[in-house]
Amino acid sequence: MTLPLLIAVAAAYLGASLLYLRLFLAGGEAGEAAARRTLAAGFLLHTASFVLLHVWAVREGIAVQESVSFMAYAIVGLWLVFQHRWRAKVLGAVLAPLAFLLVFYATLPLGPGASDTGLRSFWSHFHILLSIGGFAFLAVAFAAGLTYLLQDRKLKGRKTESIEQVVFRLPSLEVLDRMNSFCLLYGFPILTLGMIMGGLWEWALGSGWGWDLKIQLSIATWVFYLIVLLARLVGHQRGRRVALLSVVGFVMLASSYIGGRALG
Amino acid sequence: MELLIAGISHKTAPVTLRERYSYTESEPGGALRSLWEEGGLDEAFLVSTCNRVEVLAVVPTLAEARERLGDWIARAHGEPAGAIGNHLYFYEGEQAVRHLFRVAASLDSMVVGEPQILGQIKAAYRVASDLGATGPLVNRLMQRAFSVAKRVRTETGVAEASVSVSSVAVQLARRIFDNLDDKGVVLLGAGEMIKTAARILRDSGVGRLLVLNRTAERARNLAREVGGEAGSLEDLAARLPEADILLTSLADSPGLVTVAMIRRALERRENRPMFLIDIAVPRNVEAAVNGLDSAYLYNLDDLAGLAEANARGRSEEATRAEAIVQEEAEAFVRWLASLDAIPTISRLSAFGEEIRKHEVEKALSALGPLPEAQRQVVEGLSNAIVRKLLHRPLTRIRRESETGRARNALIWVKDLFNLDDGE
Repeated sequence: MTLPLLIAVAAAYLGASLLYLRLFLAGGEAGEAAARRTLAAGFLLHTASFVLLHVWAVREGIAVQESVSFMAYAIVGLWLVFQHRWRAKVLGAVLAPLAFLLVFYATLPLGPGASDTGLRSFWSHFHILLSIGGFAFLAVAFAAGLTYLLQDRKLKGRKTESIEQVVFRLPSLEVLDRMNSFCLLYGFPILTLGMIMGGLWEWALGSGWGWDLKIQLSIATWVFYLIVLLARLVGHQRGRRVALLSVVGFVMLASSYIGGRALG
Repeated sequence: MELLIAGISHKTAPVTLRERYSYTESEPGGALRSLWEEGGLDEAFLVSTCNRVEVLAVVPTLAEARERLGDWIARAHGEPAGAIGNHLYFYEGEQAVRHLFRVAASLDSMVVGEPQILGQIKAAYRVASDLGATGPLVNRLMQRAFSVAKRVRTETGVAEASVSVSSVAVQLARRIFDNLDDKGVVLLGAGEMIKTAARILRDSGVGRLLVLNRTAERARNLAREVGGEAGSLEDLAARLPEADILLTSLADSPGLVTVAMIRRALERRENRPMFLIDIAVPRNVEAAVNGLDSAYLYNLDDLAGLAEANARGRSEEATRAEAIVQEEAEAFVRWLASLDAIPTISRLSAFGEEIRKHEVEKALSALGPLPEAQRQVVEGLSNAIVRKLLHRPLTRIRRESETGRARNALIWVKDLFNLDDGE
């Protein structure tokens, strides 16, 4: 029942992605409103899909697809709320496609084994909400980091084409760095809490500490982000290095969430 | 006697070659003297700026002089004779005239319309003139060049483009920094380029300006003008961490700002980005600085490249300026061609005859009616005076013209008798 709705969501996110990409390539602010509205329309449909899911489908456990869909939902929601804070609208060109890919993945039919069964405990809701919230923040950090790397390369390259081509009208490095910092600073503690909740939940289930691929990847990712944050706060690292690290960190995080769930 | 320009400029040679020019502004005349004293040039003029080294010479034979001037320029850049052939350019005759006019009018500048080049050419002309290397032809050419420059500046909008390098720098700064109003700018030098840039930076709202210069007084003057602080160049290393933007334009200071200095400054700044703009030639900042994380180094070539791409839409003004240059160059060449002995001789004779007739008429009308014989005497007397007065100069011109070296004499004669009227 929710699948057609999810396909509509994917379509809206794809449309928004294309509009944001056009914005990214053309430069300037023209067309930003259209991209944002399309994304917001997708977000409303997405909200509807979760409402329907809970009204109609009371089930045991939360399917992998649903948590992946929820990741996309969290990213888009966070972006729609925070995009006014920063003069960096063009980041939608990274985040909207990311949301589209996640929702698209969620519409794919998966085998019966791809469900986290028994995710019904008290802790599990916190675990999921916090982990996915942290994921959304770190996704924005990733988008800012990626854009930073691109802008950095353009500025270092000093190409003697026209200045528009050189700087692509990307957001300034300072804004991107600040976004990156903000999202790491909030994303990491939220992620940490989420992981603690996950641990408590496993403990409450009495199933013991699993040591499967998902856990290994998650802990490796957590340690990596801890290092990034320490480098940032204690080592006064910023700019390109931190941008690069948050891109790598997010790739690890995404593979531990999605890859870990799908394979584990 | 031919007109020849030989040179290298930002159009033909990279900054790595240009900055190896071995004569500096601190010894005006040294370079021209070394060339002039080798002999073989009738007149010579040399202009050297950050972006060009050009010799303008009046020479007996073109082919030989091309080789000589080319070799001299190569040696002045620390290269063996003949080694920089692909960076050299030559202009002859009318092309040379047009080129000089374009340079003086700042149409050939890296930053088209920048105002400094005219002052540099005037200074270079004084140097050549003091050295006795200029003659009637170069003198005349320079006067025309100054007038062309003035026409271009007042009749076209080309000069407005000159702010573009600084504007590009500001645009780039906005790609690095979100706000400029809490950013610090350190300026090295207090010359014209720095002044323009400082004004533009101040107008775009940067937070703090600090001027460091060798001469404290000039630093203070500029600081006062743009509302900043002045300091000594010795404080550079200590104050470098304050520089979100570092703008350098110090003469004769290659590699003054080293990689190590910037690395230390970045550490002290906790890796907040630094935007370094080096508009000096030779460059003040080591090129490897751009390899440091969070340091973005642009030199004049980079900025001008961007500015040029930016200003392509402004080509209409440039077209009008080029038309002025063309018109003036043609007029000059016409004037040059008029320096033939025969027309000059006939004009000078006509000039004498005109005065004679006029004065005779005046005298005759004052004397009242005269008998024919007396009238003849008056006519004869006036004729004799004029002919004899002009006899020696005219004979001299004829003789010089046979040896092909009459041009200078002709220029003098035309100037003395004001024979250019009516052209």
